[in-house]
Amino acid sequence: MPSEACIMSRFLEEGVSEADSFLLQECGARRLPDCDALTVEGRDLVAGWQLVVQTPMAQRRLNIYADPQFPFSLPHFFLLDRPPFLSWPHIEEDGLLCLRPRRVTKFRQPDKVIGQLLSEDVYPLIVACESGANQNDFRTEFYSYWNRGLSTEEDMVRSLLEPRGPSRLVQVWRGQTCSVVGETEQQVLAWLRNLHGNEPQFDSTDTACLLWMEVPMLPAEYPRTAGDLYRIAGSITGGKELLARFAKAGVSPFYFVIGAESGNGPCLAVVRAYKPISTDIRGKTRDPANDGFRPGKVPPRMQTQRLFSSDAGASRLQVDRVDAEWVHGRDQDPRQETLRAKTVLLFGCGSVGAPIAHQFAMAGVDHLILVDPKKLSWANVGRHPLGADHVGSKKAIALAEIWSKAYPHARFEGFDVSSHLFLAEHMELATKADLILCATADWTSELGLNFRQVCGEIAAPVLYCWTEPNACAGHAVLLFHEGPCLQCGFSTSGDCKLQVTEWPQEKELKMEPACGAVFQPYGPIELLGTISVGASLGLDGLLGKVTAATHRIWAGPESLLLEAGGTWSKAWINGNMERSKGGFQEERVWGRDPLCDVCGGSDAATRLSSKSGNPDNVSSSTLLS
Amino acid sequence: MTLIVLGDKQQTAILIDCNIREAADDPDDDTRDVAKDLRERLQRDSQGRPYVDAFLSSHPDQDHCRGIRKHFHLGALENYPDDKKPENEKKILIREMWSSPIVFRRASKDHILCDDALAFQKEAKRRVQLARDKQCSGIEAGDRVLILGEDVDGKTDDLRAILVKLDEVFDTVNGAPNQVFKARLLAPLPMSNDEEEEEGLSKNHSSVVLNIELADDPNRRTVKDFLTGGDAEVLIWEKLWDKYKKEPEVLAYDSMLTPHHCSWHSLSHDSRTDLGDKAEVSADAKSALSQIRQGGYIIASSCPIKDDDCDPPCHAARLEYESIADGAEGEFVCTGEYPTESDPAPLEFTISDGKLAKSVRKAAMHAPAILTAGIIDRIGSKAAEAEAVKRGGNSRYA
Repeated sequence: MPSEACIMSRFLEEGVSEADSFLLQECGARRLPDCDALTVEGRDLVAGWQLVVQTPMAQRRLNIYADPQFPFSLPHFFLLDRPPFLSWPHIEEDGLLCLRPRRVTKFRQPDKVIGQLLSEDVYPLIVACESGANQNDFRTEFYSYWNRGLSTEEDMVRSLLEPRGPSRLVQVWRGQTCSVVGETEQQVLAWLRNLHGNEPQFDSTDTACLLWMEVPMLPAEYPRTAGDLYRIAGSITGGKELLARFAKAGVSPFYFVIGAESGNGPCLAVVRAYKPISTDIRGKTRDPANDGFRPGKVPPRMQTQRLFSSDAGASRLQVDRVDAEWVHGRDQDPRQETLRAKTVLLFGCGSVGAPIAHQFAMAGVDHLILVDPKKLSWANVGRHPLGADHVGSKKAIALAEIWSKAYPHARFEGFDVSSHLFLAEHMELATKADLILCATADWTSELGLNFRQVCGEIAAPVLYCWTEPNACAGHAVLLFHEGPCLQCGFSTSGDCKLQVTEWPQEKELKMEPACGAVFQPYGPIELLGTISVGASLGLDGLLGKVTAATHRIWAGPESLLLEAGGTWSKAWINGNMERSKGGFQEERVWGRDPLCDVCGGSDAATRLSSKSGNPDNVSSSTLLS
Repeated sequence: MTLIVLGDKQQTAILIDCNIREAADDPDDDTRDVAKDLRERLQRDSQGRPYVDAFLSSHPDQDHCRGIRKHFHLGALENYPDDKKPENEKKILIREMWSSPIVFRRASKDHILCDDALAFQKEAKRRVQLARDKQCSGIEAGDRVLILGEDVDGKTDDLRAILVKLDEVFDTVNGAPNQVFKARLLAPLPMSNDEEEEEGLSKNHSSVVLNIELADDPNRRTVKDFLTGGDAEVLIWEKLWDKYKKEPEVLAYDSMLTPHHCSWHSLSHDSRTDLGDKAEVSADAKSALSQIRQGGYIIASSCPIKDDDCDPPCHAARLEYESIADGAEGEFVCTGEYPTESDPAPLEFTISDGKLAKSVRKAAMHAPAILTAGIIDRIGSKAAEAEAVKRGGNSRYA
């Protein structure tokens, strides 16, 4: 077998040769020396040709280059005769044309690839640039142009702002290499503390100004002086008044955030303007903003004009949006508005609860309250989001810490107590929750929670999640106050009435060499099905897509089940032999049991509610009996 | 006519002299269209105007400035007249002129200028006056001028910022330092008090002589020297050898353009017409011109060199240069014979990978044809049938 390098070299050679024939014979191109291609700075190119294209306005030289992946990759087109950078959209500093996304489908016909690109993309792009027909692309793809030449390493701004109007005063924390803007001081400082810890420098913010424009700026409009900012403010309704307030409240350097709707979502830019300073003939520094007036006596309008004049320098800065709307879905996820207002309370931060909660955090849930009294052990590390560096840490506290860093715009609280104690001491937090996730797989705590929901003490829907032995099947049950309760689908001893799998007793539980140290030997990959049904049902509940008691089941692949020594239960197969292959999810209605000890009829619920008053007064043994 | 395209990011272009005959501009004439050869190697500025970053006029003889009025823009940038003209009719901008001070001198019986030379002189004077007015600062590309050598009577004393004195090394092109370019000014030599010697040093003999150091790229992995001397004749080379024989590295080169198109008179004071083969080569002049490095090139920019009485180019001079090249395992090349006498083409050299090499392909390259919208449509419709590319990005993500 020839080596891959040989095969790829052969394809490259053949591809370049095909392209060469086509370009020279049909396009009148000339081949460039290979050293020309190799010296195109910052590009990995191996062969090139030059064409001259007659457009409606001019003859323009166009270089075409092949890269080492050619003919599997698209050729690269560079326009040599062009106006200065940022005069035309879709053309980089070195003349590379940024064409619309395309894929090679016929790598054995590079001539056709080049021909199609020339006629469908390259030529129309140049003509559109010449005529100015695509100038609006500077707006719709604002960041591609604004960020050009701006360093993200030396100076940048992170934004927590809600990217929409009206123009308003906002807050900025100034860092040496990175500053943060947000709506309020509290928001900005909380974000910084979440990400970097409670450092002393995160103590205060300054006023900044958000100017919301009708449309994004074109490159020619990018501010170069504070005077340009004054003009922009003047073009916005109420902009000058806002600027006057900013002149009074802000301090130099002044941070301006300029935003607009681009057509592809909102875009933000930051400009930092400096107070004008001049020196007199003696070399003494003067403050032109106060020239001719005693300190504090400059008329406000004049002060604004002087502060934001053409004499005051301004520098553009790159903006990195770090607000939830951007982080979770790049402004394109309509669910974010709902999820940003949600709180989830998690009982049980184990191998099921922690990954599901992590999915909620990544999905954009704003507030997660984590409750678990246990510490992470070495044996947990293999299937838990926390790793070896957290062995010995309380799971709930550690998860809240690492997720606060990972998602600093969101809120995470950890409580190292049992669910029972948490509810006794922090019921006010439980009542704020929009969803309670119970992943303790502990009947005692589940029953207590179920009882509180049935009684109405907890109004939020409760999602129960667990796996069957060896994680060969998983369950997620979402229950509402008004509907059937957990007990309806459970035996009084805490077994789910619908077991998907059956196990010989010796296969069901493994033991550590210690008293009562039973465990399930599943790994993180087998768990994914259970986490999937739990997270998706929880999300549907938060979004209001599921409003009635629902049971989602994950049946793992048959091979996993057989390897572990289990079988499908008769109740699960129930004559449907196609189920025996496994590897699917199923959604069922969680039905009410009319004989349910907890909710089996309004009388029973009322009786329980009125007798117990506070469910903490009812011992679990009473309920189980 | 020599075009140097530097290995910097901007591909800075330096043109040495210009000789574009009317015949070369005549599409019905077989003379090679050297203007086209030149244009296709030049970059265009933001307004689509072709330009050279620097134009060195070695001396104002017609065969060194012919065609300048027709093909180059002489005058202020705001008066550029060709923006609406087709590409091949647009005049070439000269961002910076390099000239010896001879162009500022009045014409005399010893200093008769052709129309092209007069036009160049006028433009150089305009730029010098502008430099004077602006005290040599804030001068934009298109108005810049560099004077190579001091003029007499302190006439250039107030132009120090745009003046390169004899023996000075400069590395600026078009007003900016360049990492891949450096040049030492070896001539014109100062006027002599000896009337006879001064006569020998004047006009043709007072060409600009530069030894130019060129690097392949800003990392300067490969550096080669190019010696160019216009029409400098034997006395100049003798004096240069006298001056530098103790440090001959100053005159060392990897490529050299033979002075005065391979003229005998750059090597000898004797007339071959009078003395035939008894005419003697000046040992000092030959020494000055023999500082070739191993594998170097000696290039005669001339018509084919025949064994006849023509001078320049002179066959006997060719033999002398060939012997110099042979001694260094180098090569003598005549542009009029390359690649063939019947179909000569531009001779190009490339500096890279430790070598100075003739780049044959580029030299033989033809100018690209013009691709019109109609041709593109035709190519596109054929290609579209094949559906060789598909719109849209990936349909799979990871």
